Amino acid sequence: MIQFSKQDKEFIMENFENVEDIFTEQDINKILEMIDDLIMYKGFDENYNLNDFGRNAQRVYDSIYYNNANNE
Amino acid sequence: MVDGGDLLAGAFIRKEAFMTEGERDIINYYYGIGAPEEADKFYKLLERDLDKRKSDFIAENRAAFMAENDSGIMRAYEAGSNIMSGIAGAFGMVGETIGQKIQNAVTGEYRNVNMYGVSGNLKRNEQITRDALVEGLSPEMVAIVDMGLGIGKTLPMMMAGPAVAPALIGAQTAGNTMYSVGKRGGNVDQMMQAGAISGTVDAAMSAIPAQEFYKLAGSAPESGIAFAKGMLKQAGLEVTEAAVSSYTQTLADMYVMGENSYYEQFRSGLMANGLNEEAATREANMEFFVRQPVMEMAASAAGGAIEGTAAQALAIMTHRFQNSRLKKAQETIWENFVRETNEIIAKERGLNPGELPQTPEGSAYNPGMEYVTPEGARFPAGDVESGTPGMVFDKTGGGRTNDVYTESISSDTYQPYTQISSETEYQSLIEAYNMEGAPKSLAEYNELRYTDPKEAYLMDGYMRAVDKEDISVLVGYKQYKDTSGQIDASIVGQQTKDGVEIKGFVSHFVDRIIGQQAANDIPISGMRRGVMIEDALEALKNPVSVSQVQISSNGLKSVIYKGKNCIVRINPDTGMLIQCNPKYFK
Repeated sequence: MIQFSKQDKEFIMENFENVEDIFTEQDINKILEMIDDLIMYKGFDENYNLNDFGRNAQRVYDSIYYNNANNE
Repeated sequence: MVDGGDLLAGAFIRKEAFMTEGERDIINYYYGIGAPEEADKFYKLLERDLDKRKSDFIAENRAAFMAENDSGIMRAYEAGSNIMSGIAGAFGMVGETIGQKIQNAVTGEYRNVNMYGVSGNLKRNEQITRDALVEGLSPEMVAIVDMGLGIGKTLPMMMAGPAVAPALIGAQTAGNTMYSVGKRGGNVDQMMQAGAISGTVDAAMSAIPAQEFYKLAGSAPESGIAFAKGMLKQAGLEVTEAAVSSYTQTLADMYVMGENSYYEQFRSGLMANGLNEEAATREANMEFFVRQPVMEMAASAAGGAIEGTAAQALAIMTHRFQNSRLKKAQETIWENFVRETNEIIAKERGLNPGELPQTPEGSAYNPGMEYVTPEGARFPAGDVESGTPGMVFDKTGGGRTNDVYTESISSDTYQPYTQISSETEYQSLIEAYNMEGAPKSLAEYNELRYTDPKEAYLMDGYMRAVDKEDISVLVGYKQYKDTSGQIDASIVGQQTKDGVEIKGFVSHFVDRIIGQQAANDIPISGMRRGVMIEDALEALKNPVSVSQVQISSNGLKSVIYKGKNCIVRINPDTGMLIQCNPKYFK
């Protein structure tokens, strides 16, 4: 079972439509890749610096990754 | 009353003495109505004509005076005066020609060199004294006198020693050529071209007779012939013994006409930026016909044989920048040139300027590259001093460097992360951000974007990453820089499995590699691990999958390389590494 923090859940609910599928997904890499895509799609300014959205999304990525990695 | 002594001295005769009565009346009128500035204007209009009247008078009467007073003493004077005038006039003509060029550039007005000024008169005197010396002599004797005068003008150069003699001879030859062109009605550009190029080439040629002097002195340097051939060969010209001297003009044409020459690139860049053809040509001529031939010949001269000429030219050129107006113009031209060159190259490659593939600043030291300062000084690969403002050119025809970091910080959208107003503020910032290894002073920091664009970019990225808590301040700038160096060493320059050359990385990529703790540290709760560089490389070289090109909401392109342990994104056009995230694995 993939672990999500409160902030992770809020972010996913705000930015994805298929929330149910995400929360029941068993393959963590699929979720991480969706967030990675989102970071690239609207998380950088024209100079490739993370904008606030990108930074927030990156935090969620890292949170999901480490919360679950540490549970292994 | 002008006497013989005045005629010989020349300089003590005032040119105002040759004004007509009407001209004097006009000047007096302006002074009379309280308009001295108008009087000055009128005088300036007359000035060159007065120089000519004075010169004509002296030339005519001095020759007659010398003929009337022919004696051993007069002949000694004539020979000495000829030698002095020849040398001083030639050097002076170089200075005056360059000076006029500079004045034209500053004022925007186009005037030819005053052929009746001090140097012109010296050269004229050289002719008068020579004619007086050979008056009535047989052709054989004329040849011997000419040879004697030639040796007289060469010997003082030889006294300067093997290292600088060819340089002095080169400058003298340039001056003679300039005078010759000017006397035939050539304009200042033509004088410059003819003088600068034949002067430097003839400097090499002059090494041939110089060789004989050196042999006599028992300190012969390398062969002058080989030296000349080497230079011409370097210029891409076929060289035969008999044809060496005939290449002088060819060499000039190569600089001027070569479609792929730096000259044309420079000129085109200026015109593309809005300068009209005349102005662009003027600037390019100044750059390439004065500085370039001298500098390049000097650079290629074995043993620094003509470095004296280069130094002299540099000293003269330096004066350009003591004039603030011209300095500003030069800086603007330089900035425009850099920007326009980017745009032209990007257009040729079907890219936006921001997408130009680039290489790190270190490419300045690669063979085939040269470093060009805003003042136009060029340095061969490896010779540029650290901290010299400028940019890198690819001598192999690439036009200019593809320095990713220069491009990044030069883009219109780029803003330095922080503005620092005082040395105290800078030192506080160094301490607060744990920036050991950063430039020591605010002055150095402010120059960084010109002297080391990559470091400027990294410093900005580091401070931003610390402020936004993408990395811990405990990482320190030194480790941040070291990590970027490791990425350079391990990944940049490699190709992805599908053939994309990796040419650089954005600062966010460094953040991701570092993490909030090192990738191989013991996990700390709440602290993000970085990604191992070898994992990122492995994803690029041996990916599990490679995506199609994706376009972001603001038009950024990326391709995803999924590796076993991480996901890496790269801009396929620029070869820039953008993003790197760890993958989950059991």
